[in-house]
Amino acid sequence: MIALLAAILPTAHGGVFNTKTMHADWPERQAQHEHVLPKGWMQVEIGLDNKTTHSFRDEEGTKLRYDDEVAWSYSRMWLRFDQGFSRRIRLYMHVPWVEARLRNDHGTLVVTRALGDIHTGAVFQPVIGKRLAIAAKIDVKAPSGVEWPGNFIGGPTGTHSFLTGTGVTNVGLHALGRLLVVDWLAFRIDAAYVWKVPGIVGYVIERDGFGNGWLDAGDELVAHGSMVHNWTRDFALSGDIRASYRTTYRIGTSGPSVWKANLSPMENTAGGFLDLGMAASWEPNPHVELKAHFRSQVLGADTTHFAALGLEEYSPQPGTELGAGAVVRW
Amino acid sequence: MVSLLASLALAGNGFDYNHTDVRWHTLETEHFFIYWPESKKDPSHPHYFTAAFSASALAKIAEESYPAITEQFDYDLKEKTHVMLYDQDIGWEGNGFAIAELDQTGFPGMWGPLFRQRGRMEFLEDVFVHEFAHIVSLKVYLPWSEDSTGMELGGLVEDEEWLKRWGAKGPLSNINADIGVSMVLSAHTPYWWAEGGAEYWSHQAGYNFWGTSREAYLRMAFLEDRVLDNDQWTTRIDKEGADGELGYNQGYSFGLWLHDRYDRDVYSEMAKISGERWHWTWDKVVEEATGEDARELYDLWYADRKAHYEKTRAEVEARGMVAGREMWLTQPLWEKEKDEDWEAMSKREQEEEKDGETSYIEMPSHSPDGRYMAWFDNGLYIRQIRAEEWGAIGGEYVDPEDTKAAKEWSRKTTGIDWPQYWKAKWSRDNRIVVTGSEDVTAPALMDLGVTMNLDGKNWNQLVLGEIVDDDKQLRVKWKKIPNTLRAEESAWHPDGQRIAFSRYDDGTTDLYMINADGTGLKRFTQFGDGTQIQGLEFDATGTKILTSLFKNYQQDLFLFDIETGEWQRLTDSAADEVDPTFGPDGRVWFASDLGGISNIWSLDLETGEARKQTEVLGHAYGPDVSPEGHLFYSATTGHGFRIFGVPDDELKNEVQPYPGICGVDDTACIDTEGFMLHRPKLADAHALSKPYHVLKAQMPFNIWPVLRTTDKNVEIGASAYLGDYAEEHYLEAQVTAGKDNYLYLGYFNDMFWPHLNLGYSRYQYKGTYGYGNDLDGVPETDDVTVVDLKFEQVSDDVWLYTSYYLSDYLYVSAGLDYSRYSFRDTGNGAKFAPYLDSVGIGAYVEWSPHGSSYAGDDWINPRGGRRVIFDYQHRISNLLDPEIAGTVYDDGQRFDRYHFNRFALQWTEYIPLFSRHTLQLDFEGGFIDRNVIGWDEFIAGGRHPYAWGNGTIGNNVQFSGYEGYSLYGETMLIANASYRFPVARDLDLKIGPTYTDAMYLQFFGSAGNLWSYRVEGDTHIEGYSVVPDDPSSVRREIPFKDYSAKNSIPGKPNYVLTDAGVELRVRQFIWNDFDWDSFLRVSYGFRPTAGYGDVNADLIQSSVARDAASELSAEYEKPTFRVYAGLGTGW
Repeated sequence: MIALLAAILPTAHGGVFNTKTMHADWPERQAQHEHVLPKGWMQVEIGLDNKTTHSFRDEEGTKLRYDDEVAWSYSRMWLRFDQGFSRRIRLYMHVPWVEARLRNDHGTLVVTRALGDIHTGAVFQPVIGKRLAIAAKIDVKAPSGVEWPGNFIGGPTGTHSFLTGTGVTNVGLHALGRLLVVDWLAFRIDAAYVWKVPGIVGYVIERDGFGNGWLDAGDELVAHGSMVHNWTRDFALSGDIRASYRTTYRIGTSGPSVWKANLSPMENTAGGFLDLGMAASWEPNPHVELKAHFRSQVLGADTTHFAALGLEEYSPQPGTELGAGAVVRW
Repeated sequence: MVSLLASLALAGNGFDYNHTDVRWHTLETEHFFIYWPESKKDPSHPHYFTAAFSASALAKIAEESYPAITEQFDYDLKEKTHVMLYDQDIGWEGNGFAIAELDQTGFPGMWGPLFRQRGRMEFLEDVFVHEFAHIVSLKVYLPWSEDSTGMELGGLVEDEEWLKRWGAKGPLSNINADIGVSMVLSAHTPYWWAEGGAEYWSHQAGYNFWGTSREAYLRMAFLEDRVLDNDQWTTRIDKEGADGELGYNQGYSFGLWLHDRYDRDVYSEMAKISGERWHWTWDKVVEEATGEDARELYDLWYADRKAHYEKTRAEVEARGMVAGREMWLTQPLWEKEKDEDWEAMSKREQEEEKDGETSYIEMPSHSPDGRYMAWFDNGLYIRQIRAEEWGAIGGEYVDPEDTKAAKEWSRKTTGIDWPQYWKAKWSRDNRIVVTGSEDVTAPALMDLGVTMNLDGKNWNQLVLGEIVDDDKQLRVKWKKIPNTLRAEESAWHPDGQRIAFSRYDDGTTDLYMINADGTGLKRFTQFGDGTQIQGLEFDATGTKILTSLFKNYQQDLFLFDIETGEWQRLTDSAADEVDPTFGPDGRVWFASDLGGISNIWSLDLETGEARKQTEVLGHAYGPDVSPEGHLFYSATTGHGFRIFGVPDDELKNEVQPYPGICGVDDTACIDTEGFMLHRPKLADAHALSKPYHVLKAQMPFNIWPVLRTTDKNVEIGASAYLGDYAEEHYLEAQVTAGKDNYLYLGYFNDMFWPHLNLGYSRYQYKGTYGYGNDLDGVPETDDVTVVDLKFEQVSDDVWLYTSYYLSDYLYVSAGLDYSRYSFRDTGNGAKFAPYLDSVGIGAYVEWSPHGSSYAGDDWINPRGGRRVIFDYQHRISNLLDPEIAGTVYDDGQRFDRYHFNRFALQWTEYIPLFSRHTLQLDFEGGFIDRNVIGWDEFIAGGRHPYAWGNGTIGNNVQFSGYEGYSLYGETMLIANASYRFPVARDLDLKIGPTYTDAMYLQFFGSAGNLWSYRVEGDTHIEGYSVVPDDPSSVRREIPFKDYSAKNSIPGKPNYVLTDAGVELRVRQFIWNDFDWDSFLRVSYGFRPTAGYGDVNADLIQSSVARDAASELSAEYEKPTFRVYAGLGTGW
C-alpha cells in the first residue's frame, strides 16, 4: 500500500491526494524540517524495529548475561499519521503492533503479538521559518495494548504470554528545540516530563501470580538530542543521544469500604537510562522518505521488575535496536 | 443561497432519493470539473431530462468568472473546483451550496419560483459566482489545513462517585450529577461576511448588482426598524422569515460601504488576515483590516444607510404615496391609529405579530367572476370572498371578537400546503389550476404524510382543482393533469378547455399548451438559451398569450400568437417588467422598477399609454385586478412579502412617460426577431464530456480530530470522510484510542433506489470497580473489603441496513446485524473470551408528519408535530462463555441459545398551546415475546445526551429520576408529559464566540415501569442463581397487576415508577453557526430501586445477592435528586 501511495502521490492532481493552494512549501533538506509539518500536509509512516538481547540489568544497573539459550526479542511495527493542522500545529497518532518473544532457559519459545499502546498528541510551534525553532508538544499515551498476563497461577516464571500495554495513561509535556546552523546542519533537542496517571491494572498485586491492583508507575524525565547533517540535498545522517530518569513506582489496593487507593513504594524502581544511536534518512522528493536507525542502551537501571511481563516501557532491557521506516506525504 | 461552511455528512446529493435513472457526465475545463446529469431513459419518457445546455453555459460562466474572483484574493487555485449540477429532481431550485475544503459547489439549473425576488438576475451565473466566491474566500480565510476545518472536543462525568474520586467531601460528594461538555473548535466567520461577502465579491467581479429588489429589501428593513444589529447579523441559523435574506443584503451593503469608505477591498483583506492566524472573534479581524472598532463601524454604516433611506421615503411621500393596506380580514393592529394592545407590546412582540407564520404572503389571484380569491400564505389559500369584503378595499374589517363571523369565514376558506409558489389560475367556470408535485393525491393523505413516492421522482406538474362550494365547508377536488411534468406558470384559455403552461427543461423554460384532461399537448417554443417565462395570461380573444420573458439579460413584456407562433414585443427597457396580467379595463397591468422603485403600472396596448398605478416604498410585484377594478399586489415590507389592496378609486392612475414601450419609443424594439433568435455561443457539453468515474471524482481526504474525556480518562482520535462528488459511494470512519478504543467504519451506497449502509464498529472498553466482599452480608453495615477489579469488554458489530423515504414524512428501514460481546481480564492474555453472539433481522418505520424545522424556536421548543417510531426485530442470542458452559441463568431460567421477537413503539405529540407554550406527550412501549437474559431486555433510566452506549429510552427526560441503565424488563410501558414555555426569546446575545438565542423551561413527569419474569413456587440454587424446582413456574409479570420484582427492593414493591423534574434549555451557537445547546435538568425518582450489579453506582459491587444466590444484587438505590448538566451537549 505504501509503495502504491508513494508511486501515485507525486503525480496526483485531483481527488484524495490533491495538491492544494493552501499547502505550505516543503523544506528542501531534512535538517530544515520544522517541529511542525507545513500547513496542509499529511504524512503516513510505516515502520519496523527490533531489539534483541541476551542480557538484563540487576538492581545495581549492572548488565548481566542470561544463559546462552535465553533470548529476548521485542519488535514493533507501527503506523503513524501526522498532519500539518495549521501553520503552527502538528497533530499525530502513532499506532504500534508488538511482537514480544522469549526463548527461556528450557528452550521454550513464548510469543505474544498484539496492539501496543497508542500515542497521540499535538506540537505547537509559535514561530516558523527561523533558524532557532522552539516548540511545545503534548503527548498522550493511551493504554490500548494488552495488559493481561496469560497465566494467573504460578507467578512470573510460569508466564505464557507478555503484555503489550501498561494499562495506564501517560501524559507527556515536551519542550522542543532546533538550531539550524547552516541549511545542512541542525541540532535538535526534545526534553519531556511524563506524568503516568495512577490506575488499576491487572498484573501487580498477587504474590504468586498476577492480580488486580493500583499502580502508580512514577513519572519520568526524558531528554533526547540529535545532530542532523544533510550530506546531500536528499540524504541525511544524524547522531542521537537519549537520557531518561524515572521516579519510584508505587502499588496498592482500595478499601476497606472505599474505592480509593492506598499505595506503597516499590523498592529500587527509580533509575536512569542512556541510549546512543544513529539514523539515516533519504528524501528524494517531498512525498517520500525512507529512514533507518539503530540505538543501543549504554547505561541503565534495574530491568527485572516488569521483565517477566515483557513490559519494555517499564523495564527496557539492554540491547541494540534496529529499525526502518517509509513515509509518504501529500 | 445556502453556504454550508462545513458539512460532515452529505446525503444523496442533498436529495432524499437516489436516482438510478441518472447518468452523470464529467465536463472538465481549465479550472473546473462540472458534473452534470442526464436521464438514461428514452427522450420520449416523461422523466427524461438532460442538463447538457446548463453544463455548457456553466463551463463558459465558470471560466470567464474564475480570474475575476481569484484576483480579488490574489489566490490562484492549484486545485480544480468540482461543480455538481443537481437537475434530476426538485429541492435545490433557486439555491446552492459551497464546501470550500472539499473544493465543491452544487446547485441546479432550475431557478424556481422564489429566485425572482432577487430581481433581474441570471440564476446560473448568479449562483455559480456567489458559490465560487465562497470557495475562494473560505480557502483564503482558513487558518487551518483544509483537511481539518475543525476539531471535536467533549467530556462527561457521571454519578456522585466522580465527585468523591475527584476529592469532594461532605454533602457535596453525594450529589448525583452527570455533567458533560461538547464543543466544536473551528475556524469561523460571521454570517454577514460569509454571505454578504459572496454577494460583494460577485458584484466586484461583474456578475451581481445591487438591484431595486435588494434596495427595497434593505430600505424597508431600515424604515421598519428591522435591521439586524451587530450581534444578530453574526449568526444565521436562528434567523426566521425575512431575516435570513436580510443578512445577505446587509453584508452586501456593508461590503460596498466599506469599499467606498476605504477605497479598497476590505472584505478580501479580512480573508487574508483571518488566514494568518486563528481569531477568537471576527471583530478582531475587522479591527485589523480597518484599524477601527467593528461596532463603531457598524454604527457608522447604519447611520449612513438610515439617512439614505429616510431621504427616499421623503421623496416618495412628496410624490404622494399610493400603497393601499395589507390584505387581512381583521384589521392589523399596526394599521390602527391607536391601539392599546399594540402599544403594550414590546418591540419584539410587535415584530412577531407582524411576521406572522411566514414571510411569503403573495400572488393574489381572483376568479374571473370575482367570487373567489387564491393566494399563498404558508401554502395556498382559496377563499370565497369578493374584493370589497377585504378591509383594505371596503374599509370594513371583521371584528376579532366576532366568533360567528370567524367561523363563517373559516367555512368559506380552504388551505393546502403542497402547491408550489407559481400563481394559481382560474378558469371562467371557477376551476383552478396550480403547480404541485407528482406526489399529489388526496390532500388528507398528503397531510398525514402517507402518500407514497415509490419511484423517487417528485417533479412539478399541473394540478386541476374543482371547487366544491355547497354551503358547507369550502373544499376542492384535485386531480393531476397528465403530461405536464416540470410545469411552472400556467394560464387558462378563454374556452375553458385548454391551458397554456411553461415547462422547465435544462436551464430554460418553454411554452406549451394542453387540454385540461392532459391530451393534445402542443409545444410552441424551443428557446434552448436559458430563457425564463415569467407570468402567463391569455388575451380575451384566446389567440395571444401575454408573458414576461427573461432573455439575454433583458426582462420585458411580450405577446405570443399561438396561431402564427410570432412574438410581439411590448417593452424594450432597462427596467424590469414582470408579472403581466390583463385587467378588466383591457389594459396590461404589470410591475416595473422604472425609476428605482418597483411599482404597478398599466399599459394600453392600443395607444402605448402607460399609467403608474401605485407609489410605494417597498417593491411592488404580482398585480391582480379584481373584476371591479380593485388592485391587489404583493410587496416587500420589513416583515416579509405581503399582499396589499388598493381600491380602484385610490389608484394613482397617472399617465407617465415610459421609455422602451414598443411602438411609442422609436429607439426601442428595433430587432425583435433577432432578439428572439439570439443564442449564446457555447461548447457542446456532450462532445466534450466523459462518463463520470467514481475514482476520478473523489473528494479530498477530510478528517476531524476528536478529543473526549470521560471521568479522568482521555480518548483521542479522528473522524474521516471519503466519498465521490456524486455520492455514489461514501466512507465514514472514526477511530479513538485511550482507556477505551473505538473503531467505526461505515460504507454508504447510493447507487440503488434505497440507501444502503454497511458498517462495522468495535468498541473496546476497560472498566474498573471494587468488588465489595461484605463480611456480614448486611449492605447497611460498613464492613466491606474491597477487591480491585479490572476487566476489558469488546463488542464487535456488523450491520447491513437499507432505507427509503416513502414520503416526506414516512421513512422505512430494514436490515441485518450481528454482534459479538467478549471479555478479557487477568489470565486471558491477549485473547478475548467470547460471551455472547447476537444476530438480528428487523424493520424500522418512522412517521413524522409536520416535524419541527430547525429555524427560530422550533428546535428548542418543537410544537405542532408528531413523531412515531416502530421497531421490530427478530433476534437470536447464543451464549458462548466457556466458564459457564455456554449458559446463563436469568429470572430463574437457564439460557444457552434462544430466539425472540422484540417490538418497540415510541409516540410523541407536540401540542401547541398559547404563546409558544407546548405540551409534549411521550409514550414508549416495548414487548419481548419470551424471557431473555438481562443483556437483551429493555433498559431504562436517566441518560445524559453526551453518554455513549445503546439506550432504550428515546427521550432523555423520561425516567431521568432513576439511575441510567438501572431498569430492566421484557415489557416496558412509560408515559411522559412535559410542559414547556419560554423564559427568554430572541436574546441574540453574543458573548465572545457564543451566541445565545432563547431559553425555555419545562416541567416534566414520567410514570410507568419495566416488567420482567419472576420465579414462583419452590426454588433451589444452581451455580450462582436461584432456579425453580418446577421450570414452568417462571412466569411473565403482568403490567400494573404485578409489581416489577427485578427493580423492587424486598418489602417495597414497585407497581409503577414515577419521577418528576424541571429542565432549563438554552439555545446557543458557537463560532457563529455551530450548535451549542446547553441544559440543566434536576429530576427526582420517587421510588427506591434495585436490579443487576452496581445498583447504587458507587463503583463497589456488593458480593451479596438479593436472594441467597441470584444474578440480582442486594444493593438498592434510595429515592434521590439527580442533576444533569450539559454545556453544548444538546438536551
